[in-house]
Amino acid sequence: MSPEPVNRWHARRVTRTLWLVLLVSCLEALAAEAAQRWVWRGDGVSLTLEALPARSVAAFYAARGFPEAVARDIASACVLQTELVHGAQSGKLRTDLSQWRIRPQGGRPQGLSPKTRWMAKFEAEEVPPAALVAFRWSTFPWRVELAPGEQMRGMILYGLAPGLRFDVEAPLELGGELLRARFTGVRCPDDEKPTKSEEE
Amino acid sequence: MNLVRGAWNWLLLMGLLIATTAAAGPLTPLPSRPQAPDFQLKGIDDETYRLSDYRGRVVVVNFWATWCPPCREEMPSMQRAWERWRQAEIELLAVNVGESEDEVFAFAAEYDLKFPVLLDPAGREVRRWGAIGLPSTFVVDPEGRVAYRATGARDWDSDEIFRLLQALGEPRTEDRES
Repeated sequence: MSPEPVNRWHARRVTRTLWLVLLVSCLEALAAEAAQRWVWRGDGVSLTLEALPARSVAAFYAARGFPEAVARDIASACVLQTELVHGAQSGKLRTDLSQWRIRPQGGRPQGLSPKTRWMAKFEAEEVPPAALVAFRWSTFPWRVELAPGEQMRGMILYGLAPGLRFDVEAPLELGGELLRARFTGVRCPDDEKPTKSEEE
Repeated sequence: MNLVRGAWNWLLLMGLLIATTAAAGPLTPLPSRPQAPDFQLKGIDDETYRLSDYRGRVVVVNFWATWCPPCREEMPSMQRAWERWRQAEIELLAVNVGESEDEVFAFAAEYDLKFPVLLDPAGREVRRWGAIGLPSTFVVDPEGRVAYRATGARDWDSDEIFRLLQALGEPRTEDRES
């Protein structure tokens, strides 16, 4: 075989592989969108946001002792399960939710409501102490520091309307280097807010 | 054919990358070895457990909750690990955070847990230990100091972890010399 056909054969192979990579990436993105899950990966670190159906969130907090009306309010506050995985070989991985910025479509960038503010609200609503303990530990920590191999999972309340799309910018620090995890078009869960009669 | 093989290789690589990213590593050492906060907690067996009573032995303290998916995932491996650890006099205390005795008792029965399960109903101890989320596990050395930490679930019955715990229980060089 002369060199030219070999080169052409290699070029075709590379092109096909690139198309395949693109196709699989698109399929992966479509599957994630269908599952209401958004994943960012970089430098061995991954950050995953997953929309949780409002009904499941309401049922979870009601089972933990929240009055049903309060559990429904939490569920309609755009709750996303968040998982941060430190898969890099070295360096501490840190993030501070006070540095995260969210931008609702057509809106201005804003920060997240601190967990303490939610808890103060629930205390005012006379939520039982055991339920507050569950809320504290089921939500993503406000500040996280992970060593290699560690991971953290918890819920974040974005406080946005059901069905609203928004972008998230989550600064992460790995071994002193800044990583910017960005998500565009994240969607708040919009399954119908459970009504009292449905629950009964 | 090449296309199929290429696609297969690529998918395999992606799978490995994802698996590598998600895999939990070994325990995180705490070189400063801070003193472990002592506690006295009631167990679901109605016994009272005080950490300082275990001085001289390696103790694994695990904070968990029944509603926490990674906590549930690691419980079977923790039961298997405990069956092995107890032969080597390595103790395990699993501290439930914020739930009622009935809920925890039902869970322990369902998962057939035989190791001591303690109750921290107000979540006071988990805060004192500086955990940031659940599950969080701390390994206490025979001198009552925290030697390792694990944030997130682990495969507790691995040989690697068993060897780390065994080594921690052996007298250190400076201890032997003194």
